[in-house]
Amino acid sequence: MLRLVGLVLWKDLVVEWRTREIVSTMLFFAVIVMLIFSFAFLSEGRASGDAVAGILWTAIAFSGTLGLSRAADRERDGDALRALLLSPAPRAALYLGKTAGIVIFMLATELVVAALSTILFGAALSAHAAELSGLLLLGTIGYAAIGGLFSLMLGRARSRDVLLAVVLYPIIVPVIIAGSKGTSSLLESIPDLAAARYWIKFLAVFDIVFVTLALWAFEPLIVERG
Amino acid sequence: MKKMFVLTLSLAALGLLVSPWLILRAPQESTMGLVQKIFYYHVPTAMVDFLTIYLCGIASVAFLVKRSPRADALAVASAELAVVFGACTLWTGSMWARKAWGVWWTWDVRLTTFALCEMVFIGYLLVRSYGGPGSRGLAAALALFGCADVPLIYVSVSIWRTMHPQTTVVPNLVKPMAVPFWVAVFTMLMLYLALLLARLLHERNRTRVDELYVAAAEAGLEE
Amino acid sequence: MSLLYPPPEQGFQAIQGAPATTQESIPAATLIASAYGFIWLVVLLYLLVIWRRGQSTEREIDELKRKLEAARGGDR
Repeated sequence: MLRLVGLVLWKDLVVEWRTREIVSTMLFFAVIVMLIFSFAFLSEGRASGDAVAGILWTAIAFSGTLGLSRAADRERDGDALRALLLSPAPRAALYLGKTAGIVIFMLATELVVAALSTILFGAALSAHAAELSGLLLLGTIGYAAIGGLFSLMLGRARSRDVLLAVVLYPIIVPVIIAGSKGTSSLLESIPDLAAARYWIKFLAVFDIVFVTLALWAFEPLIVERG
Repeated sequence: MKKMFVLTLSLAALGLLVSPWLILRAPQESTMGLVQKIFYYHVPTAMVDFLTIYLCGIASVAFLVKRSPRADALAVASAELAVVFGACTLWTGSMWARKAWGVWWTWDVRLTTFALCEMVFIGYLLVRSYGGPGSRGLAAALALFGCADVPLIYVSVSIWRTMHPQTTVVPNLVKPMAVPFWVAVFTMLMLYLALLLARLLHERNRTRVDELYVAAAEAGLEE
Repeated sequence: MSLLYPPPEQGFQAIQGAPATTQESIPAATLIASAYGFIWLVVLLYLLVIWRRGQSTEREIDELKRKLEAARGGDR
């Protein structure tokens, strides 16, 4: 089964490597969002840790939806999903493979965006790279686990892009809170590592709960959508 | 089901007539005065909303596991009522907050969690209306995830200051206040059940229509 | 590990930093009326919506039944 997950993931990565469509659009959108929020919220001088953290995670949340839509569209075109479902593969492997792909695309975007924040806002993000990586990784897993499921299920609905945002955002609010609060505690004048570690543990709990639920729900859902 | 509907509706109507009178006669709370009387309807609507949210979650799981149309009917009915009672709770809470705290809204734990639940279930209804094929399943997953998320939302938001009265208020109510309170709880519960049954009866009618359409198609009738 | 990071405050706390008394204070009676009125309004609206949808569904049922009967009658 792990081999199948790897195969599904490899397929997505190869396609992305050739076209680079998802990561480039996500990255561009994330940067634009960051700039808009900067114009809206920041004036002269250095940005507060809260503001930088908030901008970073908002950019991730918004560009993530874009990436999810694009990734789901790829399955739709050419009915690739139906073909995969007809194979005797365990459904969970399909879900895990696709979600892993989305996580990788998002992490690639986040890396660039975080680096950009360091440059644009003078934020000392690299100081506690381990904690920051923990927050980003676990936050992304939670986001992608739920978003991946929802975006695949929205299928051919006409307003699917809007609906994805409508259904995803309320559910991943804890991820955004944990991520931005954790990040801002790292950016304080005296970084609050205890707080950051608490939020990392929180995100781990969130991920365990929702990856389990999503794995369970994938089978009955994909059969219905079919 | 129709008999249950009539029964619950009558009990609800009775409660709606009796409770305002009881509430007016209840003693005034010392710190907040007259406006505290909103509490007698605000807390029951919150309790009923909580009930219907989890009923929707359970029905959604049942639907995902068994594909039963009755589970689906219960899920959609309870989701609609979650939006209705959630709106009532948020509004009455806001009216109370205006007097008690001087603001219409604050990012307190309970309020924020409630507002997010409301959004989840509005999203539920939007998905069912516009989600295309397979939207019943997606909505069911949304309800399930929403229910699972409530404690996580609560914990993450609770880092901020809580100014909402703690839950210890209700068990410690003095007798003259407890009576109108529990009457109001009963009223809200009956009202909720009446509305739920009405909605389920309607859903049953819709299923009948679908069956008739199938029969008509089989009989070779044109649309 | 405590699940709630800083332990929640106990007791009722007034909001900090809010205006102590607003200039134009809305009377309590208005707020109460608005609160209860909202509940009544929303519940009645919901019942109305269900009832109207129910009416149109019943019309659909009657029409379909009529058509089916006519078709079955004609087949004999």
